[in-house]
Amino acid sequence: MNPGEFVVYISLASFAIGFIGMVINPNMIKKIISLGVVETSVTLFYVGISALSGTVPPIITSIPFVEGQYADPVPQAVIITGIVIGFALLCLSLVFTIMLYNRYHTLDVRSLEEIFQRENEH
Amino acid sequence: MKKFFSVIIIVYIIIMSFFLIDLEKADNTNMNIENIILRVNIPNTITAIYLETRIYDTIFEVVLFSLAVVGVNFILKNEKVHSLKKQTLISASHIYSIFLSATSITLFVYIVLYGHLSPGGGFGGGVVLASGIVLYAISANYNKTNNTLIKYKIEEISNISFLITVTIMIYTVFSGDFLREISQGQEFGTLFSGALIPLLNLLIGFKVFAGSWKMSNDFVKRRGTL
Repeated sequence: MNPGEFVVYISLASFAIGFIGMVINPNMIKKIISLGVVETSVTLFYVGISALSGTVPPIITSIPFVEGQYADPVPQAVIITGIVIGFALLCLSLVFTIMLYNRYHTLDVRSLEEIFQRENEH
Repeated sequence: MKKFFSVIIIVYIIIMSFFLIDLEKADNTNMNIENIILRVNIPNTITAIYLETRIYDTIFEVVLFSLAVVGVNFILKNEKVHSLKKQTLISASHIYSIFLSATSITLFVYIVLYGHLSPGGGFGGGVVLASGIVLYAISANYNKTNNTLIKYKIEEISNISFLITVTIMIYTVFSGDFLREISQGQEFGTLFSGALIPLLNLLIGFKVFAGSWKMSNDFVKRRGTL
């Protein structure tokens, strides 16, 4: 099996694990940690796709270019944007979690929903 | 029961996506790398892509990072601050964290300036330096780093570096031929073969360092709330 394909399947499995954690955990902090797992698995997916054409890092040391089993540089360059977006997303969601905890003193989603329903009734 | 069904549905969707993914390898990778090397004249093709051929993407990436930092500062301003009277010090962790933060400064300079010759770049370098400083703040002396952040006007300098970065990037988008002529005159694999790319990496690195330091500083200040 191509090492790139293996990495792609591993990344899909870890995507499923993170997504399940995001859906079934009632705690906000655990949901955010699962979101981090999903983001990392997306990065891993892109790395796997770029490793399909070869596993040598695309850093060329001598100028008359010699062909080789180089990894595709384009997906790796694109995923830098994804990493920064994931970082910003995690930071902002943690800030909103701090706000929620200061207001309602709980991180459980079910009790938060009950509190919101009671507030709407009044 | 609800949870069980949601897990089954997610696993089903993921298994179906196994069949949708096209795992054919790109057939013209070598040609692409050769074209990029001839155009930009630096060894690291990934840096060449995100700071030269796809730089329009990177402009908005830097803008997004700055917006996230501004958002975190703005929203956390009204939350209550945990008052820190004194910090428990363990002498071993104190000394090791000083050593590690000094090492991280050296690593920052190397990763940022050689980012176009070897693996590295502005984003990675900035995070390395910020993690070294934050490690020192947590394990040795938080008040000292907080005072340093205010005294040396790190935020103001990082905003100026952000403006210079965006200016250089927009200049590269609209008249990149001039920069390409500079880099073609240099020898392949030297520091100055990247024209303005080392400078761009340094400015981005400083921006990322200051932004992540400021954000973690805010989180540490309000740690008693969670």
